[in-house]
Amino acid sequence: MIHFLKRLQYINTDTGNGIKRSAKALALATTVTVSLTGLLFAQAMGSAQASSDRTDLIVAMPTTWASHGPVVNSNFAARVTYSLYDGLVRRDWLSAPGGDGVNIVPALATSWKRVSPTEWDFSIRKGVKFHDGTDMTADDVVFSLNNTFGEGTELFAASGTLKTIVAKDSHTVRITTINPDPALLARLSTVMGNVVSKAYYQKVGQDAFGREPIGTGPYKWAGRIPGESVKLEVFDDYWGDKPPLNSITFREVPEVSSRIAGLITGEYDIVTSLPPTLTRPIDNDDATEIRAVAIENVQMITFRQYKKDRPIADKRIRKAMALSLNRALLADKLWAGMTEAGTYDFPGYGKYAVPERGALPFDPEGAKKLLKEAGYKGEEIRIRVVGGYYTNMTRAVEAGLEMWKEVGLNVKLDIIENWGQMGQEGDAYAASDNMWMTDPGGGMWFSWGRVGGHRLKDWGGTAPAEFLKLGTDIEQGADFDTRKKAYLDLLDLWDDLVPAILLYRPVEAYGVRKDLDWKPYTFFYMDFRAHNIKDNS
Amino acid sequence: MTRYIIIKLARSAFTLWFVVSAVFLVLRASGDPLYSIFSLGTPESTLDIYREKWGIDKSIFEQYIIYFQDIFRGDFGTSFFDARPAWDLIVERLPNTLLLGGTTFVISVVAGVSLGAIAALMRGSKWDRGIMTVAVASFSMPSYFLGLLLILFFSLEMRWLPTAGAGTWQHLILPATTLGLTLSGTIARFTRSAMLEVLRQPYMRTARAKGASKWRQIVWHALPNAAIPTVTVIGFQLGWLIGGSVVIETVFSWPGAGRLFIVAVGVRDFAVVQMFILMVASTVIIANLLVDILYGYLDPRITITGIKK
Amino acid sequence: MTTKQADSVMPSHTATGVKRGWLSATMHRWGLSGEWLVTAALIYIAFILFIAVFGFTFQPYEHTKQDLFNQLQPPVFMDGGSWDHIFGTDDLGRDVLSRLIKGLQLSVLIGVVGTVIGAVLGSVLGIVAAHFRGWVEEVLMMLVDVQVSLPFIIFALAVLAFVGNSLTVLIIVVGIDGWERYARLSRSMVLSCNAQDYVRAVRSLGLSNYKIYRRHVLPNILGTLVVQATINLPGVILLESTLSFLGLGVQPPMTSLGQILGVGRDYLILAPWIAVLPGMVIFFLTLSIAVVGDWLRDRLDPTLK
Repeated sequence: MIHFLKRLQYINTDTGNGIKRSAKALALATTVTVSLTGLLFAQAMGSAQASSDRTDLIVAMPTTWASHGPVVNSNFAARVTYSLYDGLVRRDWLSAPGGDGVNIVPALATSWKRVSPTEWDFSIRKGVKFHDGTDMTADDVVFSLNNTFGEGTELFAASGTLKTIVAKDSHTVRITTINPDPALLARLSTVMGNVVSKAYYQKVGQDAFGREPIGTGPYKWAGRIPGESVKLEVFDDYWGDKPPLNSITFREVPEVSSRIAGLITGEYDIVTSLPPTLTRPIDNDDATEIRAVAIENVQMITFRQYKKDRPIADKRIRKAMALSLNRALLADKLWAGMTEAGTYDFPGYGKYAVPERGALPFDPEGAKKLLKEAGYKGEEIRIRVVGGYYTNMTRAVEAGLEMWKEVGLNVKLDIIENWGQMGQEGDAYAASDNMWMTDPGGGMWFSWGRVGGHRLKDWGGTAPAEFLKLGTDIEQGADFDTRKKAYLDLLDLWDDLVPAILLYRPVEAYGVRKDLDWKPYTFFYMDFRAHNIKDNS
Repeated sequence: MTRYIIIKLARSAFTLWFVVSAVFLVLRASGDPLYSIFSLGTPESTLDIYREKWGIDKSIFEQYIIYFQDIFRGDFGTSFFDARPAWDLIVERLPNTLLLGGTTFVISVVAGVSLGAIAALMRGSKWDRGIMTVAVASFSMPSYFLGLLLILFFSLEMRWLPTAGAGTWQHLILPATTLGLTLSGTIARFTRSAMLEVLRQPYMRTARAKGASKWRQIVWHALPNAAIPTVTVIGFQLGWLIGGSVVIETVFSWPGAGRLFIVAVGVRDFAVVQMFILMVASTVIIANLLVDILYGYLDPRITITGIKK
Repeated sequence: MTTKQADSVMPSHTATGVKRGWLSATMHRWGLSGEWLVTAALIYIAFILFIAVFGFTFQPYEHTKQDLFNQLQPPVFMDGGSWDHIFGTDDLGRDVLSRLIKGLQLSVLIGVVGTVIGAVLGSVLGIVAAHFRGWVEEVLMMLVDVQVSLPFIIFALAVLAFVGNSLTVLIIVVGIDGWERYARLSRSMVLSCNAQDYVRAVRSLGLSNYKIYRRHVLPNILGTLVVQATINLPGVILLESTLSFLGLGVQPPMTSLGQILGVGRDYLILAPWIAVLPGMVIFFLTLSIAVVGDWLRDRLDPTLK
């Protein structure tokens, strides 16, 4: 042991100073290396800032989607495909100042005529080219409308009124509907009207088409790097006005803070999907600003009312839950005042919309009364939420728990990881619905009423008879008055039955470089056609 | 020795089979992946077409048999989400992950070994304490949080480095530093104790007696000897590095295999999750196997069954 | 052995003949002379434990209590802060201090219970393997191989995302982390213990296995296992926080430090206090435990590395 200690001392004292000096030199060397590398970074950052005539736009969004076929199911794909495809007709969003116009204007069809109550003839535009240089013909239109979900699958549910689509000649298409369909043009202006190249689609098949899509839009596919970006390039043979951008890169940036930071530092031109309460740093910056819109979608808490032994089977308890939730306050505080308490009535319904009607009020006293009438004894009510799926949903329900507690409702929150785990458990679940089209035949009726609607199971299979009758009147009604009356009655029926608590229309907030003339629409689509983008930098 | 290696190989194969099977069962134990990939409006008849196409309409047992048959044919399944072979998807993104991992590794080894050596040489000094405290601190910080703070400081505040993504070498600096900090802390600690051990050895005295310069003593005699135990420790850190990169790739939007895995977990993309886990497990197992075999040659005390006494 | 010698020799130089304040005196009495860092770490840990256990008595608000008219109020030491909410409020107008206290409670609970689960599970398996040897031992060592082959965070992600999440599942998953370290450790220690003469002697006296392990083996290996647990604890706390960051950990209305940090990170630019405070608490907590763990290891058990 003594021997050992001696050895230890020997190292620590005898050679200690020398070794310490060497260690200091080593430390110095490390420091110098690190600082030199630092200098190199700084230099490299100063150089390399290329410029060209037309802008190369960079859009940062939380993720990119794998497939970009004509009918997409993800808002991340929809932002991209709006530049890839055209339909027969196009909704002119800019025909109203809020980016929510409802006028229908010609696109791949130059004109149309209703030849009988159920038959429509569309004249197809001549000289339109697909991105691969081939000509677009009536055949492509017929093929696209017949195979919205790929070959051999049924028509997209929203087009369930269509009977046949045939080419009368090389530039005329006839669409026959099952019943008179006053909303046909609105229907065709949705994604289901997107036109693809028949020859290419049949050659490569659905999956490959989604990976390398070909349409007639102003920008063509330039590739996807999984996990990194999707890129589009200008299509110079576009039939419409010359597209103003050279390329658009949609880059994946999952972290909100990174998107905000990257916009402020000028790495991105537009960033999407910002929670509206977080936008102040962008507004405070001189070169960037927030452009936000309430979109044509409504977030909701949907009841599983088919569970007859549960308290929520009683419509009074459902209504009490809606009345005691201060949705106007949530809309104000969670969405920075950019939206209001929700209804199934969208401004996008144009002349059918009844904004003055308003949502169910906030009425905790009324709620208490209803609960008493229903004999509610504090039974547990469980709400299932897929965590992080809808912006602000978890926060809203967390806030809701406190508000429901105030009136004596015993509500619990179950957060699950993904839709696969949703199953049939719980008394209610968080969901959302799109307006679908600029006609009251979309929205509530599309989801809750007509055959194939994806909320039918919450009724227990089918909607109540009265609901079905009103919906059919909306869908097939001969004139405006019949349809509008049916629509108003349906809204009243909804407020009586409360199949779901409608929270609000969510807000889509974009951070945008200030000198970019670009307007967001009231849906996820990002329009980079000549009429909606100009770079003033 | 041959027998020792064969037993080791057999055990590695068993381990791999166990991991793959367990993951297979866990993935299929719950829910239908289609609802995560298709929107709610998609008709059931369309979903059925895909269920059949992807073979998830069969019983778990059948799927399991098919899965293993496919693996032996070199087919690791098709991604539901991307409609492409899982193998292609992951291999395509491996270069990015290897670039980040490799850079991290180099940074950590350089920083860790030099700091650890300095601490050992100046044992008991303020430098020693300082370095060791920083080393402990480096793995006390949640790495994702550190990453975000670095973005806010170096990118937003100082505007020196890009905020996220990949492409240039500047993009590499922040994620590699974040990931490397923790690793260099671990390496510094091991280097320090290995170095202390070496400095006590008689050959160091011999080196001094021969009149070698201080620098030569350290760089020529002490460091290489200290490096041997340190390098084996680094080998064991491989699994940690892979796990850490999964999180860091998300924070920095780094388009590597780890981020692919996180996304695949979110959309329940069976084939990709399985392929990734299979790949990670085999990498770690092979690395450990190599270390074990090397040890077997170097250290005759290890018995045939591979259990160290 | 060697390190212990060095440690006990060196500090005595500084400790003798110098006038000491109350703190140094106490430190000396506890064997902490000169270990300022360890002392600070111990004090911090004691403080955190105190808050975790008794925090509810002075928690100013309920952690779920919201005030939507008072969102994102800065802490008192920043412009616009008030004493109503010392550490400010979050995006729903909830008191950050109250959430910190509540979150700390759950984080400490998960950390401690998780560590105990891992330690007990691993040690028992290790002892069983060492006792029975043969195929039992082989199977255990294979399971250890399996565990080592997969980075734990990846395993945890897969399990939580696919099996679903609840506090129980989370604690068990977090607890499984590190079991293989205890298993290896206890196995090798029991093997060497069983080979000791006195254990052989009591065994030949006919003492039952249970009694031998309880009276003679366990007391010998317990210290090392406790040190190992201390070394593991920071990792468990960080694991929980990382899972919460990825949205797979503790779910609202429950809250933990990792969850506050995970949700608050979106607000780093606008309202940094929401994320920075829990981030700092986690950082100093894991740092303190690591420092104390190292110190314990050096003092009690230099064989552990």
